[in-house]
Amino acid sequence: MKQNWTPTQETFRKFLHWLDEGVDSGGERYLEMRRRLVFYFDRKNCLSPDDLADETLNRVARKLEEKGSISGLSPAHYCYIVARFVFLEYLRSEDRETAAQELLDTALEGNSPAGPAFGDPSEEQVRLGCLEQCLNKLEGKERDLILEYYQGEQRSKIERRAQLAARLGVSLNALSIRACRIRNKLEDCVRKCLRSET
Amino acid sequence: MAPPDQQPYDDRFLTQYLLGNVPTEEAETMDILCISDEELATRLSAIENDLVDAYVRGDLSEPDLDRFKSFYVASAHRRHKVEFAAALLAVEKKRAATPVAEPVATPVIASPTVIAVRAPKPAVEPLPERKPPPRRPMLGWGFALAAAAVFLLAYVSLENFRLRRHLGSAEAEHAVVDQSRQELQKELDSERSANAESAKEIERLRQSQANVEQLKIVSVLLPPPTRGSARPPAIAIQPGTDVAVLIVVLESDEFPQYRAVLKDPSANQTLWSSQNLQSAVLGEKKTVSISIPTAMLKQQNYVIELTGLPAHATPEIIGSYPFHATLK
Repeated sequence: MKQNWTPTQETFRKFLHWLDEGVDSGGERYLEMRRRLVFYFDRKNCLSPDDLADETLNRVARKLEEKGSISGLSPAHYCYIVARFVFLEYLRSEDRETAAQELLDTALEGNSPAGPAFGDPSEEQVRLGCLEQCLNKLEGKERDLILEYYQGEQRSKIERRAQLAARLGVSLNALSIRACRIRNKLEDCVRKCLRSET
Repeated sequence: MAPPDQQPYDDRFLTQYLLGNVPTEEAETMDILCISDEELATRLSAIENDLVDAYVRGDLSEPDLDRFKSFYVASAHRRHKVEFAAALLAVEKKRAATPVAEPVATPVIASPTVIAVRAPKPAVEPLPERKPPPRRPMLGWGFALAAAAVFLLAYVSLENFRLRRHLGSAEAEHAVVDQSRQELQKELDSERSANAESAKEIERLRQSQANVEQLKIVSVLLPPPTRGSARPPAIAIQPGTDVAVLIVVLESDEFPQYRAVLKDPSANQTLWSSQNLQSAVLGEKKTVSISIPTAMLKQQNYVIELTGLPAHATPEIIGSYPFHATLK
């Protein structure tokens, strides 16, 4: 399904600008959209959600380059429409049956009732090392925030978060968005770190 | 469990969606919104993190736990999230066990060469304590020297191995530092570009200042967004009105600047975007005033999406303020 078109630097810059909708996000909107697309394809049980997300963004960037501008729909909505086409093509692809079998194997393999530990202990140690490394790369206040926001049992979390929001002088909603962004950043960092370790 | 029309989805529903436990039609709707609705996508991401954390802490209820095991962990991507949550919990436990340990800043690596010439100190990772060999007067110095030589050889090999590892990680860290430097440079460039834009905007504002007094204006106060089906505030636009001023009440004023986007909620389409705005005090409230040309407005519902612009960080969406425009 992958097509042999890659955006030039200028095309990519224009694409980022279009995604930003007038608010320069320094590439954050692109990363956020990619995250959403990965989530979408993953939820549809596609085998390579990352590849399909990249394919979608590539196609949108290409369309933008061909047409000069895309109006009438928000960038997010437009990305959804293209994602849907990419998904339908994925379903129609010749190796669908193979893909389905692989998906089943993956599902059965991953459906471990044992609990959260999916990897072996050494993998967990490497992951832990990566997480510590990535935590240390965060700014001090970001690190404190994420560790405090996500700590504790479910029941005590609500109260703790309310206290944290009050202390920082922000609404719970704003705090939740901030914590979520930091966690996403941290997860990306750990993923990159793990790739470099293997 | 199905959400009523026009009402926000509750957390329970979103959790069930993540567990693959909602009817197909509703799941399809959610699939669209997860990409196109900024606020919902962020909320869903937050709920997913809490769901995964609850799993690794053993806090999930029985039916949710079953769905989690049978559906959620069936994808490699989602398993990564679970593994991350488990690692985060391990870090939390580790830090709780050693409360005095302050997070140590990543050391700045000058260059691999510098690392290579640094003599490794046994204090970093002390070798096991050396026990004195049992006294055997008949064997004498020969054995002692041989043992010392073997030990020395082992020590040198071990340190050599450590040095190689240090060198490898130093190279990797060097690459990371270099990448960070490039990212900072990119940020600086975009900051400069934003400053130039602001200067142009100020100039435009100065030029248009003369005409402001002649404008016909209508205004409305938009309270902080609340959940539920409360009717949105209405703004009545008389013929000949030039500008609608929407005074948005902030829950908290924590950003130096703000940006507003006017959206058509039925099509989730962005219609207009403001320049950078600053908050002002209105009575006891902190507000942001948004001036929209009335020519843009039709008789329908709209949403103002307000974004906070920090000085040196990523913009954050603060909230969506719905309102209804009525043309007289």
